[in-house]
Amino acid sequence: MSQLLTLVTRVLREPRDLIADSDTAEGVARLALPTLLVAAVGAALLGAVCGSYRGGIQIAFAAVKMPALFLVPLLVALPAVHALYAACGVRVTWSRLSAAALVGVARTGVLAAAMSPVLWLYYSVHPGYHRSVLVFALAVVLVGLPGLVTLVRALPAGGALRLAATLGSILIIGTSMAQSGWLLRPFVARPTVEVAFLRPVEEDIVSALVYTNLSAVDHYPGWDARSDGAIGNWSEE
Amino acid sequence: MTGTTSSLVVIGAYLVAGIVVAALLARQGQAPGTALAAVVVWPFLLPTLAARPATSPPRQGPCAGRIDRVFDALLQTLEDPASDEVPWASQALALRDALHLADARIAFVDRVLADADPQDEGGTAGSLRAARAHAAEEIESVLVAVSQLRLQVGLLALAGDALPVAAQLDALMGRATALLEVSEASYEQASA
Repeated sequence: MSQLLTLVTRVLREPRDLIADSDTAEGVARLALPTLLVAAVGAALLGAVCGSYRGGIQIAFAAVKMPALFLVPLLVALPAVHALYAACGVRVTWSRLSAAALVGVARTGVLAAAMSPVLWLYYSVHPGYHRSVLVFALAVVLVGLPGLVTLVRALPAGGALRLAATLGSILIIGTSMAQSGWLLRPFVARPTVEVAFLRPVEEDIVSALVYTNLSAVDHYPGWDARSDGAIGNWSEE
Repeated sequence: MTGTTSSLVVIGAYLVAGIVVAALLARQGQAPGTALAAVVVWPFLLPTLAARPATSPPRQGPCAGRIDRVFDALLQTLEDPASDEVPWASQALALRDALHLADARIAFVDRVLADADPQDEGGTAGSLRAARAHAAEEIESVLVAVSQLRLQVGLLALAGDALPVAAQLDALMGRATALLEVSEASYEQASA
């Protein structure tokens, strides 16, 4: 337990030193389980709070899915990030990238746990469904960005196109995280429909956020989730 | 195949791969926690799987720790942005390696002398002890010079004259090389 607390302290206060101490194959092996635990517990807390908007079984559903939301994008996008940095002339070992990703996701987990009471307080005033979804998305961005920055800043300096690689990496991981969230929805279940662990696959995160944003200001354009295109189609009814 | 089915197939394949990696890690002797983590994040742990466990610890001499400390300080100075003009980090690393080699040979001599008669001051054992003492003193002397070199790098950052540092590094490398040659001569003498 004290080792976990020490890890949490280092993840928050000296993430770069922690990555530097663990950027070997043995270091990553040592770091893997405790960072996963920290990330999973923190994410599950945020998920449970998010599910509490609807209540009941949705609390458990969201608590189970939230750790996957933090991990899946990294697992999917990290090889692309590695290749992007190599293409831009920045030499980074897979072990260092893995250590940085593990520390980054643990940092996100800790911040997610810290964000949970704030989100809970907000939900306690019974906001509308669409506003709740937007605030949840904002909370995920707020807790995810420091983890992403930790990952990117831990990578070695140098390389003529490092800035391009950094921006490209943030774009790749950010997009993967947004789309993973869309595929793993619902987190904030709509109060009027039956609870489901996962909804059927349809459209993408961009069109959904645009529609939710419009709905939050009481503008319901009649969004057609089955249509093609990044922003979907809607027409005034 | 529907979207849900193909998603389940992908997730199942990922988990099966994770279980295989976890089993291999456990077989390799990794901690159970590491193997457990591999089920979820096996791509991160592939280098661990590929890394071969060390068969024996590296041979180190009695001065290994001090050599590392002195050179870590020097390399830290050389990596400082203010000392960009100093391009000898690779030479410093070569000097460190040469000193480690000489130090490892001292450790070897110590192991050989452990079986020798401690009362035997003359003859081969005596010569070997003298050579060992000389080598240890020389390593210490070079380390002191390396510490001073660090201060010269600071002077270089202000004065911009790189020649004294380069000359000093060359001289130290020469001493380290000579130290190895002396050591080799001592071993030949001891084994004769």
